[in-house]
Amino acid sequence: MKSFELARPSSVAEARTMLAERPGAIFKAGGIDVLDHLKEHLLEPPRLVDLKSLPGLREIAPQPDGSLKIGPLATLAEVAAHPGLRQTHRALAQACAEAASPQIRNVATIGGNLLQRPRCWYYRQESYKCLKKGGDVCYAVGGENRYHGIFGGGPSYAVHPSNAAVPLVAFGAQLVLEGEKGPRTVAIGDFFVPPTKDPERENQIQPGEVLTEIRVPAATGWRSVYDDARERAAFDWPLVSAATAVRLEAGVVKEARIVLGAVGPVPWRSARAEQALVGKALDAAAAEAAASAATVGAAPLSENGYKVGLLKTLVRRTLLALAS
Amino acid sequence: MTQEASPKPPAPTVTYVVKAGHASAPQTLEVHAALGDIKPWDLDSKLRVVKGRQPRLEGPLKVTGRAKYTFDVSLPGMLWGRMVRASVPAAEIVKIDTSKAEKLPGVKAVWTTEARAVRFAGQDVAAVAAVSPEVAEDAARLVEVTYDERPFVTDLQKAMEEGAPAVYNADQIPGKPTTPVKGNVVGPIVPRRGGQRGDVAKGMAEAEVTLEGTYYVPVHTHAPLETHGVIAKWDGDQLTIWASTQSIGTVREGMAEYLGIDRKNVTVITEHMGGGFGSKLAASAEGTNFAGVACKLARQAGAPVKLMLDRREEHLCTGNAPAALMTVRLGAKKDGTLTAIHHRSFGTAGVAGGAGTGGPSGNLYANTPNCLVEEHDVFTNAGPAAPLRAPGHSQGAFALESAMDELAEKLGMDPLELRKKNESSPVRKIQYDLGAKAIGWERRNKTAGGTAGPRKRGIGMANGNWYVFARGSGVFAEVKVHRDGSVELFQGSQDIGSGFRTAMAMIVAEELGLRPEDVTVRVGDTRWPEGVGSGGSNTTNSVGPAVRLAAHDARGRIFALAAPLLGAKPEDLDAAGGKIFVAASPSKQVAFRQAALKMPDEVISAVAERKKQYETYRQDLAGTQFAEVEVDVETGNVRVVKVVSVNDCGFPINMLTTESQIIGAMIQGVSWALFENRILDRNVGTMVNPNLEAYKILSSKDMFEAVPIVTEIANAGNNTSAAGIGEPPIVPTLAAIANAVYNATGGRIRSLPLTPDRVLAHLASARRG
Repeated sequence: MKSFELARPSSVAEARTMLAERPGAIFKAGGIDVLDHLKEHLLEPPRLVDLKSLPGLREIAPQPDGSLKIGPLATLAEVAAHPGLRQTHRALAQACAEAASPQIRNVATIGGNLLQRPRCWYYRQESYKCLKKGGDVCYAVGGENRYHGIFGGGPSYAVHPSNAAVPLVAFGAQLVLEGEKGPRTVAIGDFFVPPTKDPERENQIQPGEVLTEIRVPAATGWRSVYDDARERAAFDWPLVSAATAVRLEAGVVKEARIVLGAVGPVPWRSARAEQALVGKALDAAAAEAAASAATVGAAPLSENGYKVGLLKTLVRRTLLALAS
Repeated sequence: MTQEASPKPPAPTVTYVVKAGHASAPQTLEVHAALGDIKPWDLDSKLRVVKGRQPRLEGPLKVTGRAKYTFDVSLPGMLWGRMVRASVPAAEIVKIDTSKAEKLPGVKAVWTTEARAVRFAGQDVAAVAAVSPEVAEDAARLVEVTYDERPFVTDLQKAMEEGAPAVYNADQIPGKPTTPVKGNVVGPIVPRRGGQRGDVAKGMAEAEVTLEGTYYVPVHTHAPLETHGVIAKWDGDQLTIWASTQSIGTVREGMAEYLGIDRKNVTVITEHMGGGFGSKLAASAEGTNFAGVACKLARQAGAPVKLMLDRREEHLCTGNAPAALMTVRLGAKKDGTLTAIHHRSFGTAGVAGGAGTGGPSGNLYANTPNCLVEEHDVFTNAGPAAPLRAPGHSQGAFALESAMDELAEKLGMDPLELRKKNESSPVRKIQYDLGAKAIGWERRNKTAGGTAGPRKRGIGMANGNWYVFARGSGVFAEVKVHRDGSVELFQGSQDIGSGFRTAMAMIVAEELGLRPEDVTVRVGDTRWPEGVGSGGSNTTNSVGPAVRLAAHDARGRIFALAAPLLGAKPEDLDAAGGKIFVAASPSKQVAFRQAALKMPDEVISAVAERKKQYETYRQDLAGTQFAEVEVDVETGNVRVVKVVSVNDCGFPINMLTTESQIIGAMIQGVSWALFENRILDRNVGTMVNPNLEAYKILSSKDMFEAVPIVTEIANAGNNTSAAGIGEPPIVPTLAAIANAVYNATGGRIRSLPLTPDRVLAHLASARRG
């Protein structure tokens, strides 16, 4: 990697100043994703502005109304182990608990998890000048695409890598971003940017903006669950993940959220699958119908057709887990 | 009596009668050892230390981080080397411009290749040495290489097609093959060992049931935790190399030849080694001359150079296990008796040869009257293969032992019974029942895929074979007993992590009546008595006998000092627990240290050379494995629950590290069966997963219950009765897992790895019929 200087701000404002005064400088939180970029020369910043020790950005604070305020510097391990959160927003705790390895979960932050770049093996190697790096091809098309997307239609087929984003979309989280004009709040469903809009980014955070808070609405009356399919049992990325949440009244689904991970360029909410559930008793037939609905629109590449069956299984299994 | 043209006088021998084989079926055997060799340990030997369970002597150093691996060596004034590698799979190099790199402050030396043809992405092109790893990397990135790119082929089957891009012109093919060459395909090659017997066509005609299957195993990379690397340091004309190698002798000889200097001027040191699995047997590595380059950079810069490869390089150019496409044909009578085995394989060792996989087919079921093995090497524009833990045998056993399972199904026979019916090894006959009991063979599904629900359990088994390889001369050991009673062993072989130094300490301790920790073992230095390269599972059984001879000599000399103290004759003495005593009345004893004090000089130095290898109980090493898996047929996830590995290694010198080797081989085999797969982009020809994130190795959560079982076999043709264990336990694993998956699901997957995409596709096509 290139040499760089490490700047250690003591406030968000100072962090933004330190970033602005060195063109090309970038923020760093846990550093997991940043380090990979530096080692592979995908980024060669002259300065890293280290957010890790900023005060007040690491708490997980359940609110009286049942909602959560999560500091973006909370580690995945902390989110996974938080006793209150595990009760109220189970899918989020599960997603964080399943990510990577214990060593990484102890360092990686939930904010970094949301903002990390895709793990596509073409994007991650300097030698492939792909769409995501300003090139003009997606090497996955006609190439080695077993881990790539089946939704979204390109032009880049890298899948969104965040485990945590999948349940956060299901819970309708809000992200607070602090920039030049002060803080703004963005619904997570609007936060992610598809490659049709801009293949070189996955979200709408602006240069110099800092993610300062993740607000997760109360999930009173909801049940939620996260599950994924993967090759290795640990230290691996999901092939497909699913966060499923339902609000039942007298055994009948009043509301549902079905969000899929590792199938598209952004966390993939399946409104069709949700609609298939509403008004139904949560039973095997309803789960099957929702699972089938979730596959509508899937357009696999040459090597990733198996993901269609996997997502169907995961939607069905997570719903049946909520029913019991 | 007619004399041969150049008669050799027979070397004088001494005849020993040994109780050989397994304790459950001992056999009296007469062996003819070289004169001066001692009677081998056999079933009647009362061993006090050897065959025990001794924690490795260097364990505390390793777990506290004090053990110095090559990677840890740091010298004053040391520079850091960095290679520049070809970024394209096939090209002519037009120009290598190092001017920008040379101008970078801190750069002290630059090397460029003289070769012009690039045949795989990752080939050596240039190198730099600089004052820090960061400067070296920056400098390497400033080297500009202009390529005239050529058509390439990286896929095994595409390389076999007519009109495929030629990896080599006809006159450039390495190894000057004596077999036919057509395009990129060399062969058929009929291996010397078990390649052909009888007439396969006749055997197939005599069969009542036949089976043909085609099987595929992808490229597996060795991926040792410590990458390849050296530190090269010149003092005048003296060159010292710290190397992460399995063969310090090969590094010495290879570097002397490459640099045009005398071997006596080269010292190679490997104190601890972080894994090799066969990839570290060359002077540098199969696809890179990094060690030679480091020596040249060091000479040019006038400073020591450290050149450790990174993880990407380790995947690209340091060797791998060949991919292989194998067709096995079997013929059998209705009772299961095999009439023919035909193994035809096309393997690719990338730009190298040596992709044969027929070992198991040619040597298992040796009673089968008709057998033919035909191997083909297919060149591709990919990094060259290197030996990997029983080269070619895991792939070959995957094909043969999957086919045997399929044949059993066709015959309506229990797959274990089919193996027993055709077994030629008395050792494996013993192993079958041990393994079957440990796994609970009777629990397997009578109908494959017969259990209800999406998560299906299954049990399978497979055999593996290997051979006794041992050096019979040119290996030396020195045991030093100091007057203060302290003991050292000097031996030039390297401990590659297998527990070699501990096993040697145990042999010395056995002879001298000491504890293994009383013996300081100094290994891994070419200045010490000549050792062996650690390949072919031959280190313990090549070196141990020389160590035992040296220790036995020292024992005799110490007994001669002790005898007058005890009023006995030296031949009436024995030694154990740090005491020397009269065998017939053990209370008459003297401490080892007291006896040593009587030596006339300051030290006793006993040096011995390995004597010739002689008749063995068996020349092959038998092994069989049983596996239990759980397959989620809706997610395609295969979880290995348990593996039982039953092995013959002759006498295990240290049972603890022997079992460690077996467990390690099971893990590597399961990882290969389930996950590992080098993937080259089909359009660009470069590796998409040259890291340990996307090149997947079994994780801690994928670990299974690993049960090692050792069937101790006396007499492996040397005075310790040790044979080898490093390689054989990986041979059956791939097939045992695949056969268990079949038993679980009813889906026969003939292509590895067993990842969800492949498993789901096979199950879906099986459902379609």
